[in-house]
Amino acid sequence: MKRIPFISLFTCCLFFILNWPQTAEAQLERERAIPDAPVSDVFWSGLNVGLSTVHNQQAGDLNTSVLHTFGLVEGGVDRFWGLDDGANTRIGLSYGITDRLSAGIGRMTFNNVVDLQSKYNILRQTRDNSVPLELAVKVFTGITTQDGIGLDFSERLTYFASVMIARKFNRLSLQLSPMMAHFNRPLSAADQDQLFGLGILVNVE
Amino acid sequence: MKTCLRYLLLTSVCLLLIPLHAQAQTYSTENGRAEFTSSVPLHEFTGVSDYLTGLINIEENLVDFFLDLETLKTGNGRRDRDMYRTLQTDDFPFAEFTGSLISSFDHNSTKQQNVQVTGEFTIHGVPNEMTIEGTLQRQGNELLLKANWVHDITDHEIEPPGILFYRVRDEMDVQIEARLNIREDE
Repeated sequence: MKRIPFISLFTCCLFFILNWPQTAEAQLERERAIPDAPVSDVFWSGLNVGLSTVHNQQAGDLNTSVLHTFGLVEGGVDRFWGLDDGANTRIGLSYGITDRLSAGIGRMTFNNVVDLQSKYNILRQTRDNSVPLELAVKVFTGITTQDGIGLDFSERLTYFASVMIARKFNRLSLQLSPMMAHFNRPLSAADQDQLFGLGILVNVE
Repeated sequence: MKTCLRYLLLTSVCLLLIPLHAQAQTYSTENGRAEFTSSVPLHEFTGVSDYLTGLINIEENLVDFFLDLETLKTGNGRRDRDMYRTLQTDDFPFAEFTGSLISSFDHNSTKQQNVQVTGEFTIHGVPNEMTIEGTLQRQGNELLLKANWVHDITDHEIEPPGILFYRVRDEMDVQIEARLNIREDE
């Protein structure tokens, strides 16, 4: 008779030891809510030292900008590396139509050029690397509104297009930007009506 | 000997039945609502996320919640990005709370009950012990959780962004509401 309560007692003790409440420890595995969300902040701004980046504003955001560009650095100390040449100032507004598409308008002091521009993100680099690159295009049309220069409407038009390819590696972002500009009528006979360029951007956080 | 085995079998069956019943008292959600309201001088803004994830295990007295901070949206993309940068979400993507109920909760009642939880709240990788008051109400196979409290972000070594006197307030009002479903895998 003495063994019956002992066995029951032993079973009870074993049960309570196995089920004794423990210090609260997280049970849920921490997982990102949207694993294939775009990588944030490949670049912090839509423009970086005058060069467009893959950064685009979100839907509904209105962005204002005041941009100053100066003369050529090759002017040396005599021209104080371009600062003495005076600033070309562009005041601009751009609006996020969707999270991938924005459109904007601006006016610059140089030849009173008024421009319309748009940027579209074709690819967004994702956190889970299912898309490894950012790919965006920017198109720009400008019209010279300066009086008294004797040009008809089509001669006043200029065009610009750029493809932006970028990737963020942890705290390092790289971007390559092949670009092209076309002038319906160059400002002087010595100027080319088409220009090609390659922009390189590096951002380290 | 037969009586002995009968006692052993009976006790074991009874005890094994208890955890089967108890484990059914685990509730979880992946789409709870978390909302905060913060302010700068002359302006107030609210951030909302519908990705609050968590569980309440009544039997083990465990309350475990987390929120992916990059799901918080204030209605202004630029402000959101600044907020993520301030919170360093690349390194610390979650706000987390793990703790336990310190007040009684009658799981069989369907009335709304005031409850208190205490535990570790971690944001920006910095844990802080907190006690939060809220309500729990069982509605069929669901548990409705509501809570609100004032949270001081400097407790988590977060520097409120701003310039001179124009600075985000240290304290923000936080509200959560979640409908937790009974876990069927338990």
